[in-house]
Amino acid sequence: MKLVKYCPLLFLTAVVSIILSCLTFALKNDLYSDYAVDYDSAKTPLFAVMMKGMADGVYPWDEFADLSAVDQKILAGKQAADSGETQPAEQVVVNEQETDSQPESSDVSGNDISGNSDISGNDISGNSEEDKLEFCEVTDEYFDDALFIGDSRTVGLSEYVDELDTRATFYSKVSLTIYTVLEKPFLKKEGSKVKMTVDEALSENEYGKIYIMLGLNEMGTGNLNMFIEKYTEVINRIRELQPDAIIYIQGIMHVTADKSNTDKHFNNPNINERNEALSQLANGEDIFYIDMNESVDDEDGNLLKELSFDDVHLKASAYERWHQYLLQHAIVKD
Amino acid sequence: MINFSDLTFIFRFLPVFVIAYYLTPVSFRTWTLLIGSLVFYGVGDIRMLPVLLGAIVVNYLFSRAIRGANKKKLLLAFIVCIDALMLVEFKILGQVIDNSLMPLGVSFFVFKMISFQADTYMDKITEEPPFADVATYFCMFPQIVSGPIMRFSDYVENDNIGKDAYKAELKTVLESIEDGLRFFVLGLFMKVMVADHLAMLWNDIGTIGYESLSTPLAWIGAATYSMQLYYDFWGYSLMAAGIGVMLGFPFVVNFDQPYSAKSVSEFYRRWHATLGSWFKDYIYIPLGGSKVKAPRIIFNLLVVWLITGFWHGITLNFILWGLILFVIIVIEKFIVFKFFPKWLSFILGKLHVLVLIPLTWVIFAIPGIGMLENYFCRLFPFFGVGIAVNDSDYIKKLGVYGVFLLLGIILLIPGLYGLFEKNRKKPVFTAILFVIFWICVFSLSNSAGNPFMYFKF
Repeated sequence: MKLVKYCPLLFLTAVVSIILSCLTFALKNDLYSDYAVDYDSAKTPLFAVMMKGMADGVYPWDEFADLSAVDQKILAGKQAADSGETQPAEQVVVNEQETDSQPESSDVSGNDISGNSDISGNDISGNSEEDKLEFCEVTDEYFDDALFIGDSRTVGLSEYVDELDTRATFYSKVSLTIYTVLEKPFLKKEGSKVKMTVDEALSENEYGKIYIMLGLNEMGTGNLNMFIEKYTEVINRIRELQPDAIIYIQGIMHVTADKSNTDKHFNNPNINERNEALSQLANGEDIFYIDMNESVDDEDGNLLKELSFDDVHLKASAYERWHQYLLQHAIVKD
Repeated sequence: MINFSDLTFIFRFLPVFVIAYYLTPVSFRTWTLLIGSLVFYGVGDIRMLPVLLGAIVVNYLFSRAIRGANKKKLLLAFIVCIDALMLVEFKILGQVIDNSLMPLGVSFFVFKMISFQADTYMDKITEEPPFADVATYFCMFPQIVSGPIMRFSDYVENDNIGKDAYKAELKTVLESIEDGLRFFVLGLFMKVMVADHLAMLWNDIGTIGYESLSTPLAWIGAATYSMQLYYDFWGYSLMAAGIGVMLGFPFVVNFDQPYSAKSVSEFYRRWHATLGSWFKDYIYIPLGGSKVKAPRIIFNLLVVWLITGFWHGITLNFILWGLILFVIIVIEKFIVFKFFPKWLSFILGKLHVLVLIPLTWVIFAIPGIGMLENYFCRLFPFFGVGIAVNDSDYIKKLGVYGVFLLLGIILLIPGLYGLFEKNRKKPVFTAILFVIFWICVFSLSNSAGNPFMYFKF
């Protein structure tokens, strides 16, 4: 024991490592079971499992606390979790959806015919030819009563397209997902420190058009059915709160070929699969599907390399393409 | 695992290795270090392990030949050419075909090899070292990936290995492990908590696109990249030197408060000092150094800085970077410090270090000339206008990364590291190191190998 005084830092570090490891070992099948799924003892110390949990606010003493509160934390942590690259799909299966109904059975999609064109769901509606709504070109005034909901890509749109930022409203946030979009309080409210949720904001304000682009962060999460089911639920809720708004479901923007060819989750075949399913949520009456990828893709259907630095986001100067696409793909109701 | 700031390295490889090293009987300890280093290298780059092994054997044989030969100079020239050619060839392969064709740490172990040959030639290595020592010196794991480029004279100072090694008392062993750990933890903090976070800001700046930066953000970017590079490399060097100390080697100084320098030439004596002194001892002085006429000095400096540029990378921006530093150093040496009054040369020297150096790092960071042009047009907006610039972008970035920039600036205070060095054995520093170590581990646990920890879309 006398030797400890020659190496206090080493001793303390070793002791704490051992204590934390024992603690994690005791809790790993219980409190931290969700975090221990892909644990590899050859690569990381055991307590890294606990630290992952603690980053979500799940502390060891929660073992004695109300279990349902802990579940909420884990759920929230996962839904807000980063890109999903570090999380295997099976770990992220959120236990809030037990049903596995097919997206086709959802009630917003008034049609059951899936087309292959990028605006497939729209033009095949139950309506007769005369009533069919067509996309047309509009000016920026169109966006005066528009709302954009989305993740970092929509944040970029607001930051680098002044015409939209000054006219439209943006409910956008980095790493926002369809799973949390309505309930996550992230909107600033004037004169209040408490943040609002999208659900609350939509109850208070009225919009003429609502554009949604969500789905990239969700790529590593859950499966297609879960995603579409949740998306449908969100659309239904928005419809309920904003009965007169035109809802635009935007297809998820592609990633570059470099990213697509090397990433297990975030690749264009996966994006296309989800976009295909999203397009079927449109009804051609008040819910439309638009896909801005045609304005930023190369001939192989990948995001043009020169438009992106990180293979996922548009560079500031490229957001104008998206803006132009929106101007040319608008629905005008008389 | 080959990254020192990796949980696998910190909690698996390092403790296992250090215990094995000290449990090995003294006479076999060199072999433990050699085998451990080869395992380390193999995990990092198994395909190129034969290249390293080949280079070790060839260099060992040549060093023996140089020692006994009559035509020493010819042999030295021959092996130095072979080493240099190997380095150049791999750099070209790595650049032109595929980055993975460049063996891990090749720039560093080749420079160690050349240094070893030159020291043998100049009779600086008096006793003929056995193969195990030479091989271990070339490939020891604390230095193989990114230096420091330690000299052989420092290698033999380790009493734990080699011919004159003796079994140290447990107390001494624990003390050296403890002291090494202190430097390691400080380095880990600089790398994980400062450099890695600033790297995220630099990545964000790239995501916006250089042509769309507001001018304040472009300048913040220059500062960000400069500090990222500094704390990444200084942190790494502290970790490497710390591991060396744990094993009984002397502490190798690689960074000595470069930003407190009064001129660019002084900056590069303090920045990556082992590389600078390598160039001084093995290129600049053999060419005549400063003891020749002015035009020859200028030529010598040009050679040194061109090679320095090439050594860092063979794309145009590195050559440009080396040439610009050459020009600044020549101006300092022959104009500023020769003719200008003292107060003016002081101010100019400081401006060079604090303003020009960060700008040279921007050139260092950005490989495409077109992109560089865009960046400089945003730094100096009178050269051109940006596209889709959001004038308040820097406010948002400062909100997110301001604390890391501030941390970086605080660590620039010259006296701070000295304070640590002097008092590091006091309990208060033990407590501080203990806390920052666990902060780093917490951060690393949640980043799980993702280079941009909190990367979200």
